[in-house]
Amino acid sequence: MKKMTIQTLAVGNLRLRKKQYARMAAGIVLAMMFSSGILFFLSCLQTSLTALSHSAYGAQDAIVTKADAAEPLQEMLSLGIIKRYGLAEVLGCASTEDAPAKGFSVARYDADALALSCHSASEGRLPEREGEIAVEADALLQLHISAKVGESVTFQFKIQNDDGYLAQPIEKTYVLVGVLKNKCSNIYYNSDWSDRTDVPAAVVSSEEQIEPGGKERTVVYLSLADSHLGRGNRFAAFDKYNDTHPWFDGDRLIFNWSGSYVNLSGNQAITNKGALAGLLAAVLAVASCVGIVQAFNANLQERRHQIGLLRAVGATRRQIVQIFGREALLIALLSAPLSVALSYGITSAVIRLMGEDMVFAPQLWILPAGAAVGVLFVMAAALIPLLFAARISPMQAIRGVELTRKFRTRHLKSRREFKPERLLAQRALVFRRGRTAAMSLLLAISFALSTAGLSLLQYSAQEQRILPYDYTVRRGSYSVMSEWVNFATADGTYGLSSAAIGDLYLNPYVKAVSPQQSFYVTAEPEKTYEIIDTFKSVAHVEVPGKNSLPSLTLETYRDWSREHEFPEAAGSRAENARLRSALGCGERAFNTRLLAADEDLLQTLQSKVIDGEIRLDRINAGEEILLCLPEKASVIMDANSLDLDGGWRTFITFDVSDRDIRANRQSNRTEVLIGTVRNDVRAGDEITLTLNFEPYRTQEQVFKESAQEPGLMQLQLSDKLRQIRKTVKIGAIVDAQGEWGNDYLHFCDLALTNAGMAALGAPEGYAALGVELATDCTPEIDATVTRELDAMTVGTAFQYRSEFSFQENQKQFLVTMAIGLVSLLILFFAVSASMIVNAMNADLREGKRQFGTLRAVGADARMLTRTCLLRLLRVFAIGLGGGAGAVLLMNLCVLIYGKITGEAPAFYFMTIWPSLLLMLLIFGVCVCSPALQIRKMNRSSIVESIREL
Amino acid sequence: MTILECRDLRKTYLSGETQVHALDGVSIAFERGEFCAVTGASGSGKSTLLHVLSSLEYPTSGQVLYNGKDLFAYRDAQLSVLRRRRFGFVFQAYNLVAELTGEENILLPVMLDRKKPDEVYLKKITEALGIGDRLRHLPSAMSGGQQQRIAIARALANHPQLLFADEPTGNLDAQSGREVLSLLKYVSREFGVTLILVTHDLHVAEQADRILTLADGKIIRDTKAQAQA
Repeated sequence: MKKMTIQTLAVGNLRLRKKQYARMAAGIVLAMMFSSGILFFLSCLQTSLTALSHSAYGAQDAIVTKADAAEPLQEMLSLGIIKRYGLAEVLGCASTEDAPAKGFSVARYDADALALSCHSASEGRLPEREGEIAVEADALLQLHISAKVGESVTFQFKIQNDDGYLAQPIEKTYVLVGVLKNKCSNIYYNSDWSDRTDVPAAVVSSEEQIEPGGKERTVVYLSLADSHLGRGNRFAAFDKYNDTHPWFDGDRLIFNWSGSYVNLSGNQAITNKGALAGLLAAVLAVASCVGIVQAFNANLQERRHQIGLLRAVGATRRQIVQIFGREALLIALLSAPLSVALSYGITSAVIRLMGEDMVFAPQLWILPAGAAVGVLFVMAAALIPLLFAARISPMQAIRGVELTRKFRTRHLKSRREFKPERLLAQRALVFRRGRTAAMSLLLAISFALSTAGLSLLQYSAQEQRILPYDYTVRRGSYSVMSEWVNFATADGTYGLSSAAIGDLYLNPYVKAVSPQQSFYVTAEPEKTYEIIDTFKSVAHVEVPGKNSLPSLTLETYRDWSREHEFPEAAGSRAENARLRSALGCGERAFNTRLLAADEDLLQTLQSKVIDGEIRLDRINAGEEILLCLPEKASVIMDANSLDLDGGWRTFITFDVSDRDIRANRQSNRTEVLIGTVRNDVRAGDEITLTLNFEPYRTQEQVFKESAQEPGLMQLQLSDKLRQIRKTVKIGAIVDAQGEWGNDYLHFCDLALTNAGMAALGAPEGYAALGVELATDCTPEIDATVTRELDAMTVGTAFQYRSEFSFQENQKQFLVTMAIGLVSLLILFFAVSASMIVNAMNADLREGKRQFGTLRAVGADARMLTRTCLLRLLRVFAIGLGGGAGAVLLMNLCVLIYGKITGEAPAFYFMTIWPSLLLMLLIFGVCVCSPALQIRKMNRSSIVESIREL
Repeated sequence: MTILECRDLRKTYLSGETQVHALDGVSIAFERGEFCAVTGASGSGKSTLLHVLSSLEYPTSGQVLYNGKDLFAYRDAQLSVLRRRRFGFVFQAYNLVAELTGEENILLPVMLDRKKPDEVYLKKITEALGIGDRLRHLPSAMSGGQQQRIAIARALANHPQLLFADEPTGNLDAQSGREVLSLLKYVSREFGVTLILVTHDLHVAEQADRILTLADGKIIRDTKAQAQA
């Protein structure tokens, strides 16, 4: 006799139930297709993101902008520290006469450098012979060069030598053969690199020679060897080598920080699309997974008898799982090649559809990996019903012992008069409460989820614009951060010039431009203002341990808080005192910001005046300024800080209202009103302003470690310091925290008009711009304005934001989210519906005998349908009740959270109508299927159905 | 008076490739109040005859006349009404609704008919059947004999005219079988019910007024016809 194994049994099963398995295999192919498709997709997403990153920044890991020697590179290559390097020789810096600080370096590249830098022409081609040049698009824009490909361009060429640059720039003419994709400006955008001409932005052919008297600057593009220790450590060997072999100045290294690349707009688009497609694939995969679970479940339910027999003849649970698991494995393995082929094809089609940003380039190992993931996925899905099936006891399975055996009669109220439909429906719920609970739970979750999701979606769709202008230009980076001295940027300016802004006024779509200046200033009042002195010196204190809360007033708060201040606070106070005297200011001087804007913006503060009045003529003349101070200031003592061992933490707050105090009392906070402005600072008081300006220096040049106190960085003033000192009057005190154009007024900020700022003698330099359009924005208008803003900000520390594009992106994001959410909801509802339908149908099939019995004693199809309907109604009522309860609970949480934080809740979960509608829809679907099943069963013979198995 | 009559009943099953004639031209009439036993070897068609007579199964051809009317000319809903008002069934496997208590099972046909239960009558039946103390239990908590008694009570609950019993003692031990049989006889006499009982147990059959014997789907012996002859 042929040897019988578990394998033979499994194969035998497959043969016997061909049709059933074909159906199941179809489901399995689908599930595997989606699961391996996700893998393909992720791999392509990764490839696409890498490709995008390379096209934006280059494939190098680091750029050394000035190498003293090239020999160490060869050594590092042989030591396995770097994988590849290439050299670009900078021949000079192209610039124009009107903006000498702007410009870009021109270099000839060797093959490796060209490959690593990933320079590619978006228009035209790379230069091939002498006299040709290809320039990055932003670089052309920066110098206002409007030449087209094929035309000749003339530059003022600064040629470097060993000492810097040759005295006279040389005029040079090239033929523009290509416009390159931006690299240089992207690299600078994502680093605080100050010298924006260090990385070359133009390529000439390798035959090009430097002008006589000049000396090439060598720029090295290099990629590091893949470390065995993972990415995090890749720079370690490189750093170690450079410590012992200095072949370049450490400041001359630019890393590619992968973390900073996420801001790219193309990147965002890919991630958005990817997230959506991935989400959909995941949704479909989960749906197919549920399908597999269900298919197996139904299959196993119908074969309970067989399982029971196998158990009765001595098969262990393990063997049962093995027999039926092997069937699943066989089907999965057989379906794997087809699934992988299908998902490969579909993924490639989807990725091609997603646009040119996406690259379809899956690695080959993905194919078997996809198949393996699919098989695992299917096995995981099949295991769930299998484990349950294996738990059936042999007799239970063979005899199909009714569920009622488990129940005690005394739980039931026997009735002498009843409606059979109702009683049967109710008993079905009682006896199959596990199944009922599962169905209701699913419905409740679906309801709560859809309500939560749709409410959130509606809320985010309602979100209003954050900034008051159509376009906002702001400074992105500073060369030096100091609150005492204003440092110029590398191009010698303190901000945007009105000349640069001028073009914007000419744009016909622009209604108004609001330029805003912001300088650090030292302000010295005639007498000590307690409130400023207190809050400027110490504001945030932590008192660990169980100390009781002192009763504080404005007078006692300062001394008390000094006792508990952070150790660093004393150091910085000493440094501030040193700077104060170095800058020639008195004891009372504090540093703050001096903000300037056009008169319109100042007028908007009119309603915030708490003392004095806004007199524009005096402000324009530089005689008066506004002081931003809160009417009331108080200290919050927060005992909620767990990390302080029951201690206190204090915050200052200026926005004191009765509501806040009430809210804070409820939480574990105490608020003490420290003082009001009126009894301390008055309009009409005189105040001496000192504005300090210094030319460009790097952070490293400005800050030096203190000789007395290691670790304390001290600001070094230079002899080029320029000071403006003027005594002005406080024209008005405004309680306007958070106001002011596209900036926010802070505690004790000073404000005046641009004219006033000029009258004080401050150099012109706008820190921010607000642009308002005359009409609603369209893509065309947005294009014309952004072109001008591009030209204004390229190569500078400024960045701009278009509200229109932002809103468009937001809209796109919302649409993406909506599609994702709706598909998720549909999935959830479909799963709920299919599970309920399946459960009901399974009940009907399992209750076939009962059904026959009922028919034999005279029940008709309508009565049976009604029973089913009643049961469904109860399931839905419970589900809906549970869902509504969950929604209520969520709203309660929002409410409680609002009470705790003292903020009014942003929104409640109220979007229930679509969920109700969907529930109704499911109900309809769920009613139809069992009704049809009943009709079908009703046509079959009663004898057939009541016959014993 | 003839209450149920069948004419030239044929029932054919397809078993694989071959046709099986479960009933092959059966014609027979039953009188009101008669106790008739149907016997025969396994596969002789006796159960099929009972199912067709009781409208649980459609014949391939032939007629069943109930009170002179063709049973299979009724619509399904009308047949349902007939089944719950006029017919009673007792199955070999009891076929109680597992989710209902004994009492609820008994009352099921009455309730399906939207009628008030006849308390006196029901008390009489349950006392006669000796199941007064099992009424509040679920079938799963009862022995086979008790379940069969509940099934009989259910079959009688609606004052049926006809009681069909398909091997009602087949699953019971000798003692219970005897009891159930005498109960059936008793109720059929007491309540004037026509009892048609299928059995392969000759001792059971002997107690009937009339014995039909089937072989290969044909009646080969009818004690009544013999007596008349």
